[in-house]
Amino acid sequence: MSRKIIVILKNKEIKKVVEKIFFPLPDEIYYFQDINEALQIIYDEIPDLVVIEAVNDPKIEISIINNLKDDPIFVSMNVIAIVPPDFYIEDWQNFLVDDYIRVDNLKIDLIMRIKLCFERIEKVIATNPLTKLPGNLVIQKEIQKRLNRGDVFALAYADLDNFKPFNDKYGFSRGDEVIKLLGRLILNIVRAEQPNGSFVGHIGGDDFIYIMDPEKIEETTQKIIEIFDSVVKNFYDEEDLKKGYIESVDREGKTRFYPIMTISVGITSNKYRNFRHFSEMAEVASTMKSIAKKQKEKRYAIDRRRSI
Amino acid sequence: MNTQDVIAKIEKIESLPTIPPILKKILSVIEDPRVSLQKITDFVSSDPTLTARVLKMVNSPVYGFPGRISSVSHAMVILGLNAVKGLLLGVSVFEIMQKNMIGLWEHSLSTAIFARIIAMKRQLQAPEEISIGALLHDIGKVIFIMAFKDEYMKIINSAQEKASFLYEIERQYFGLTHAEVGGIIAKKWKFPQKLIEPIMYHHRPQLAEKFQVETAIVHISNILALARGVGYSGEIFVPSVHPFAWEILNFKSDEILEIFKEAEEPITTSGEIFLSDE
Repeated sequence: MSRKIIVILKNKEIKKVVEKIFFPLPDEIYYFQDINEALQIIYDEIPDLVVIEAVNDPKIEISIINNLKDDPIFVSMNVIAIVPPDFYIEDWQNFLVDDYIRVDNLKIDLIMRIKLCFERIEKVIATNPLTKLPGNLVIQKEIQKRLNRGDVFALAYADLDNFKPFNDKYGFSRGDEVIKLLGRLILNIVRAEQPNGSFVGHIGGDDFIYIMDPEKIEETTQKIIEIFDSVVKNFYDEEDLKKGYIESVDREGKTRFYPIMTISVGITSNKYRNFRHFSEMAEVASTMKSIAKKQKEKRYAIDRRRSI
Repeated sequence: MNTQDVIAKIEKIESLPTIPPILKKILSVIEDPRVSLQKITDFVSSDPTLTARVLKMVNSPVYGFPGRISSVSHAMVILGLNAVKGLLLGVSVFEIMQKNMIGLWEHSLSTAIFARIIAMKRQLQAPEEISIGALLHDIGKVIFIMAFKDEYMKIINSAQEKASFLYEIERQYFGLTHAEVGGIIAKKWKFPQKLIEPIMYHHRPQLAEKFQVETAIVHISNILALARGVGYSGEIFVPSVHPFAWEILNFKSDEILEIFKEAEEPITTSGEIFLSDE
């Protein structure tokens, strides 16, 4: 995949070395002498990587970089500083780069450092910070990859019922505990039931998905629901547990009673029907989840429709 | 001995050792690639050391919900097979303690069996959690052995010579008993209150605040296990039941006999399963 790389170098000698190193790369590379010239393109297109020379008193350049990196939208933009051989710093807060390389090591290390930077950022962005499970982008890729390959699989979409009043009453940090718990339970139960070829992802909030063989998903879902029901009790205060509900104020400002949290799961599969795009499949799973929420006895619903 | 020094030394202990027969079992469980979570759960719940380690891990800040999990089966499904296997691999062995530890292990396990039976009879919601409190009630003795091996062996001997209760000599020498030591460790490892109280107050159930029934059950189960004479806990007498526990559990006249009868089979078979060479 071609990436956009911005290289900002004042020194002609260093530029020669860097150009030579970058020459075989398939990426789009733009060279600039001054960071101000580069800013336009940086703001317009957010490059994947900025390599900036900080060998001779780079204060101005670095302060501009710091301003950029201060905005979360630039979090996926890697910045590597080229520094003098005797470079030393303790205060990284004022030097917001992702990595550095000593000018005398460019030939050996530059390419490796760049690759490592990309790998690192990918891992960080791909996972949900709370549960450390794969996030949205990875989930979409995973579903699409399986559809493109022609795999037969089942997709489950799970979320919590009555999570919001719990979060409101006990605070977000206990709410986070429950999300983490749910992530661990789904991950471990799915893996225990199907060690190979399964997948678990965290869409965000209290929404999770998992992918399994169609034959295994129903039983696994029942287990997840059952185990969650018994573990979640530990997260309520004793008094509320005895009552069996919590009191919380709804959007209209009225006090309402909310039962102990449960999970609802919607399941679909491409075994009997076709999906071409991941979003189609996710939508059906989500619809099935809404159906599950309306049911009384079972808390999951399986899509039984067939393509003609 | 200065109590503060004792506590300081105790708090340094991070992991508990197990006895060689258990280690053998651990290896056979880990090496089986098709072992199920259920099988490992059963195995872990039969050993106080492994149970304590698993609960310590799941209640650590790493997993993000300290003080919430008091059941081994819950802990297992939250940690996952690989983490548990890794944890079991890290268990150390203490050859020297083999003699005492096996006796203590049998005593702990039979206390857990009594506790489960009583919890079921009282129709409590989570019999597993109470039996874990019972399984771990003497964990303070293991901590004492680890922190003060020579002194503690002397204390066990002197309890026998002087014909007094072990916890009385412990208090004279260390300024605190194994029950309190167990409670200190359980707190430090962020165990839920539901486990801390029964461990801490198993000799003084009247002091329990929130979990009085649970503590009373562990108190009485410990006494029943001693009366039945399974294993060896260092104690030579059967202590009397505290009136508070009698009151709270309200046994009918024949109930204790029934409990003994029901416990007989699990007590005899559990030892066979886990200490055999198979």
